[in-house]
Amino acid sequence: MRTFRFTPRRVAAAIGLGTLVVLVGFGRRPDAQPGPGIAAPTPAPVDFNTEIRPLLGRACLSCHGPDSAARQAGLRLDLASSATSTLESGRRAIVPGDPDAGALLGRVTASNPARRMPPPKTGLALTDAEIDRLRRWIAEGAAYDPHWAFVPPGRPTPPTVIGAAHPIDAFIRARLAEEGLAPSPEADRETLIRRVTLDLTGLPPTVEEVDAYLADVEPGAYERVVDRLLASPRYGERWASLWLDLARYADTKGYEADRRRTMWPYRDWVIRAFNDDMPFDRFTVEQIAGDLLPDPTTAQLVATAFHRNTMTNDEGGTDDEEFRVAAVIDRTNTTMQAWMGLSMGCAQCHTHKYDPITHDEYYSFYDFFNQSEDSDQMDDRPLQAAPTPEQTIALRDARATLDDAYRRLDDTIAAGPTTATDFGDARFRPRDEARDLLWIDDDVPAGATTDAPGGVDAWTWVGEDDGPVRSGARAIRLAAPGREVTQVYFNHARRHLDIDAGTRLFAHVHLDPEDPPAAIMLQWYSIQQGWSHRAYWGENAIDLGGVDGGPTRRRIGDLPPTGRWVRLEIDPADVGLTDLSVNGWAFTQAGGTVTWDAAGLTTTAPDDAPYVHDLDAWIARVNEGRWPDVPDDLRVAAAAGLPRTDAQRRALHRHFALMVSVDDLGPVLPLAESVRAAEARIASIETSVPMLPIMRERPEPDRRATHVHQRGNYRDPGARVTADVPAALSAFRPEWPRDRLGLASWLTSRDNPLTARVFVNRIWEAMFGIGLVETAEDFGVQGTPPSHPRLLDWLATDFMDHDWRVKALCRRIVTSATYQQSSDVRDGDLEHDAYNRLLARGPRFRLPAEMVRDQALAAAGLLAPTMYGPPVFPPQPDGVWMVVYSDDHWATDVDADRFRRGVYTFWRRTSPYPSMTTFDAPSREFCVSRRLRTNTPLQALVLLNDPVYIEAAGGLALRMLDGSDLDDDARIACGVRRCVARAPSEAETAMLVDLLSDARQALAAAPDQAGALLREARVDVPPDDATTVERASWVVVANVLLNLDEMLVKR
Amino acid sequence: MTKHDGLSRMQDVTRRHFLTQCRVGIGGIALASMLGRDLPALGDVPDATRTFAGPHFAPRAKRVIYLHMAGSPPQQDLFDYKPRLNELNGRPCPDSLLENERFAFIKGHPTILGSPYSFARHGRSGGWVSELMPRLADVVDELVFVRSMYTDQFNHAPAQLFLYTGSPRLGRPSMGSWLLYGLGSENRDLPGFVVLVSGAKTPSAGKSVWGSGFLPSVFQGCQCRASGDPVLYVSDPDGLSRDLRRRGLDTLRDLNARRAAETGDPETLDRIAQYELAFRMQMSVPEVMDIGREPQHVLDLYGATPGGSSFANNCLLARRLAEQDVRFIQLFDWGWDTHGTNPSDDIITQLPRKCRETDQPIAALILDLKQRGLLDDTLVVWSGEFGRTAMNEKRNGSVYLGRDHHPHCFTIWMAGGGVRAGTVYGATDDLGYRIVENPVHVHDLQATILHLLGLDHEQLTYRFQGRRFRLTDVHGNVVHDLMA
Repeated sequence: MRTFRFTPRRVAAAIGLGTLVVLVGFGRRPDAQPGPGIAAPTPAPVDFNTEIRPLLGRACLSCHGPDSAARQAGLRLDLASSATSTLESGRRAIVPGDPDAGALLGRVTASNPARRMPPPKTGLALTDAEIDRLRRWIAEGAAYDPHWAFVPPGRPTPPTVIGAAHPIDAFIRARLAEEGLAPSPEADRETLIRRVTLDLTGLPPTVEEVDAYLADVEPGAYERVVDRLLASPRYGERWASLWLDLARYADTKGYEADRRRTMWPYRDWVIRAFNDDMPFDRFTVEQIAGDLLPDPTTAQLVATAFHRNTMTNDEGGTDDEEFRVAAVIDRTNTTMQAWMGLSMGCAQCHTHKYDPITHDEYYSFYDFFNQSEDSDQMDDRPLQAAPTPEQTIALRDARATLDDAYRRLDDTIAAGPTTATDFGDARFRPRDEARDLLWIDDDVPAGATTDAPGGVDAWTWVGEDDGPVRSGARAIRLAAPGREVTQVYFNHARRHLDIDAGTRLFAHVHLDPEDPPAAIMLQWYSIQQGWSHRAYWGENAIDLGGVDGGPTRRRIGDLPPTGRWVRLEIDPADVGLTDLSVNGWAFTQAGGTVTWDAAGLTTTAPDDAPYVHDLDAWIARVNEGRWPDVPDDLRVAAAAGLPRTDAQRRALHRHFALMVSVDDLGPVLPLAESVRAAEARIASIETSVPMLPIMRERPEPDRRATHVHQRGNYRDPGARVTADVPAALSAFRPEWPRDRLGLASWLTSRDNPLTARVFVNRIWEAMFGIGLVETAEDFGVQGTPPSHPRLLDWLATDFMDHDWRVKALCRRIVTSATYQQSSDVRDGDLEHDAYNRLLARGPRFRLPAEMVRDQALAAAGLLAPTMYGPPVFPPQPDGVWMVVYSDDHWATDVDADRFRRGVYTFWRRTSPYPSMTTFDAPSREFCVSRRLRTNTPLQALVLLNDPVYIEAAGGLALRMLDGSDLDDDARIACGVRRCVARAPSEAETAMLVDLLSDARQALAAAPDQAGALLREARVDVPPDDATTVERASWVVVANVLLNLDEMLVKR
Repeated sequence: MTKHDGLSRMQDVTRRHFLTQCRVGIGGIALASMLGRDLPALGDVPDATRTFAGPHFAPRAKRVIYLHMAGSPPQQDLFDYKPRLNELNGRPCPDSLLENERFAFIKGHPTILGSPYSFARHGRSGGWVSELMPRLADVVDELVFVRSMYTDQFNHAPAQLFLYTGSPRLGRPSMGSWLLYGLGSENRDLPGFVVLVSGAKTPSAGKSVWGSGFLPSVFQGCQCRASGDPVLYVSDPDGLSRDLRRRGLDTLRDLNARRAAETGDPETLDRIAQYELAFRMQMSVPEVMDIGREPQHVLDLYGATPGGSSFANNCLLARRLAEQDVRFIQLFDWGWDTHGTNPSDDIITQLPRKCRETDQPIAALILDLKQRGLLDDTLVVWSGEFGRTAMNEKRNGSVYLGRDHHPHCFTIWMAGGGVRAGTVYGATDDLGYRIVENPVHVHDLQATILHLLGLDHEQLTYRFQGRRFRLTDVHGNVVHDLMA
């Protein structure tokens, strides 16, 4: 038998290679043809990529590799040309076919420590087995095969294996047969639906879904479940979590201050992209270079926030350039890591010691990202408005309403004069007869602001009942003791009084004969000169500015007679108002009681356009520079003269109707109001639209010159480089632009050896717990070779052939018999294949952090289905956030938001949500390819005591108590099924019933405790002790169910 | 197969798995993590040292208590006596101090700032200590001062990260995580790496300074808190008695064991063990964190107050944790960033306040460790993340006295576990501005601390993203002259 044995010696050897697959691949080419499972009489030839390259990488290349700065003796062992040519010493390291002729074997076996390689102090000594392998490889000709991952995947034909119609099964079973292992039987249906529901949606199946599947005896039942799950909106939420680790998505900026920033529209974009089954190549292009696409949509701009998830440093005194450079380096590394599974970080400071990426090539790649506008600014500019779909709809509706209002306005205007105010361009109809145009009567003009916050109603008014009224329903009444000065005023009236030659100002006044004032004053506010126009009667007793005797304070005459209404009239020239526009008025007195009413202008303007003028008069004033706040385009239109274009006419009409003549326009008025309402609605939506950082390219003249950072120090620039990709990878085609868009084309090109392999490996890892390439983060020379290289290539090419559709890939995997196997560990399984790399059994591993949370809430019936939007704040202990330099704090949500899926939980980089971290979620400061799984007592404490899980226990207890006619056994069965999708055995039920009765007994003795527990679980405390104890006892049982190992594990 | 048979078979497998790791040491842990396998948890291993690499050579100390003064104290006002500074006080600083320099806040041509505090020699060793640290002066013979520390970083967050992770950027494991990864924990019931924070703020660099970076999260620091649960979620919910919790865990254990027997998954047995450890931690953590159990004279020695939250309390807790063989005990105290923009961050009001808060408890900690025989194998380190300038910062013309960030030199001290007590290492120039003798880089300090714990900083590595990482990056030299 050539079965693999898990012996310490081989483990020790494997440690050096950092891989178990090397263990199973020892002495054998990968994916050898299925054999009878009997050892061949002679060993298979040594495979360079799986058996020699990792050995050289571990022990030799740091001094004899690509990095010329570190190279010793001029020897490169990663290149055949160097390894086999004559060295500085005059010898050759390797003479192919003759192990003892070259220097290499002598050095690795030398007994003299000074000559021994690797030097003993490095602790990298080769084992006897490794030395033997080197010897055989040289004897067999020392063939240097290129690193597998840098060669584009071929299209292997699945081996023919009886009973394995699915290509995945064919590859897996062929290998199992070779190892003499048998696959496991199919998992039972309850296990299977739980497994596939968790994998595809991140949530457990409901009891109803399990029942439906159990009842579906027609062929294709499983596939129907799979298709239902792939169509579920929960699918996108599940897979987004995987991508967001790579995107280092978080809701804060990182570094010391770690302030909040709006990134969640990007998170929602990712969820939607998965749910819409956006092809992965498109997914790539939009995130890397959405801004460079022709006429990018808002969604495509939002996608570029992928690379704005880099950290921003707000700490005082930091050098923005230093952290801009850090962000660009992060983008460089993240792009290589997320798409190509390569770590370029080493090459930041020096040429990569293992992978063929030179120091210069690193900065050529860096140049792709060095041309964006962002530069570690506090406000994270450039920003993009990213309305949610709801906001987009609301905005579209509001804009349609506005358009409609404008159209009706335009139609009304076009239909002809709606009042005597003529909207025509040249139909001004002057009248000779002067008339009083009332400006102030019962109210102030529209748009005016008064001296008091309460507006005009804060003034004292008298009506017919309690005082003299000259006109309308009321008059202004002011009283002041002694000679004290008092006044009311307003300004900013939207429509102005235009003071032309021949006009006169007037007001009506009534002085109380019992309490006459010492003086009264009228004052006007002109747009041009402000409040510097005063006219007074009586003594010069009001000193509110101005020079007595001039237009700024002109005495008109004595006080008028008391006890009756008197009309005051002023020549505007006396107060310097000729050819000015008035938009404010003040009534002032020194002592006494005075009533004012009916003030305005005597003019020759038409009586039915009473106060100002028509359109032409307004246009004339605009052209004379006597009208403030006119947009430039309107000034141009006004100055254009006749004939105007339709657009100019319409713009002038609209502005006049909306902004100038606010009333007395008959049917125009309500239309103008609906325009204003629509504009206000748009403004209010727009202020709530999130603004998120995006990528934007600097214009060509501002391109940054990229230099190599010598020893990784950006202040020490070396040679100038321009955008390019490492030569060892696929070629950059000449037709691609040398920018991020070209880079995206390169990443998604069919020639790219890595992108598809790396992504299918991620999906495989999420499903099976370990990738086909175990080091998902390193497909380079130092990474582990794939356990099933031909299967990996088949999946990668199948993925590309199917338009990079992720759902099709998921469906491929979950419909394989390999995926559907039972995960129970059989006798011998652990000895043969402890880590299940060969997949003789189904996947079995602890759920990721988000699923641990979501599953508990789902089982408890608490999970809130709301999707998308700003991040939420489920319960978190006080004091976890200790934020420097700000008062920001965690405000726990009180509504259903506390029960949202984990993907929506607020992610603070310097203080991630505790239970997430405890279950191995990263901080999201940097791109992370793989979460290591740990098993710690802190996890037990979370599940036992975190208020989230106590609340879940409360929810689950209430679910179990639903239905009045059930006995304890049935209630327990309900709870177990909600948690683990299967019914409990009799023995399990008996154990839980025992616990229930012990809990009842214990809590009956302490009903206060029972009440306290219910409050912790946020379950209503009933008035009677018996019910309280009963409910609390079920909370105890629910708490145990939610902690079942079976629940934490996908199996 | 009976339940018992199944269980014992799997325990067997688990044990073999465990023994395999013993043989391969650190690499085995690395392998296990690369394989995505669950790892032995904090203290879950009866003899943790066998599971891990164990020391590379005989250790001088078994544990570390690291006292970090976040914000960075001014060396000129505490331990690095510079009479020349006082002579030049108020004069424009020499141009040479400004060449090729950039400062966080200083603008224009600053003036020299002498120390307002008097210095004296103390103890048999005659170590210089300013009047701000009178109690510490009494134990000066236990300390070795390093006056020639320097760093590459001049802002808080990067400098703190650099000191604790060897890199100014986020993402690397912290010193305590490396130690746990290399040595394991010696306490079955407590986390092996405990962090205590005072001054109401976490350090600038956040929790990353005790994070495990790319190492498995079992190795990260566990922050024990003064208020609320000392360890998150260590308390049972109200209304759930200890007995009822135990009763529930019994059922949980039995249910899990049944499933383990049916499915053959050894991880289920691991999980059972973790729940049992969690149950023990629920007792042991609150117990060790309860300083109310200390006699009054000990509380008085430290100036600690049960129920409160202070650096003094944390010093006493550090001793209690050291007694329990916690491997790395990290204290952070906020408030040392004395720029002099107002009285709450100057060297006249704020600095003496911080010294008053810390002087007595630190001296008490040294004395208390010593009298209990713990100082011999406990390494105590006191430091900030960088030094402070010889010049008055005078930001925006401030009238308060303070110093800007200064990476070129600062003073730290160490005590206990294997250090050459009662000595001074390194020296700075007359103005305390640049090192003139025996510079010690942050990476050298890290290498030295690892060395004292029996670890070779060049061999304590972890492979991540295709590269072998270590605490000291590709640098660091052990400073043997600091050792007894």
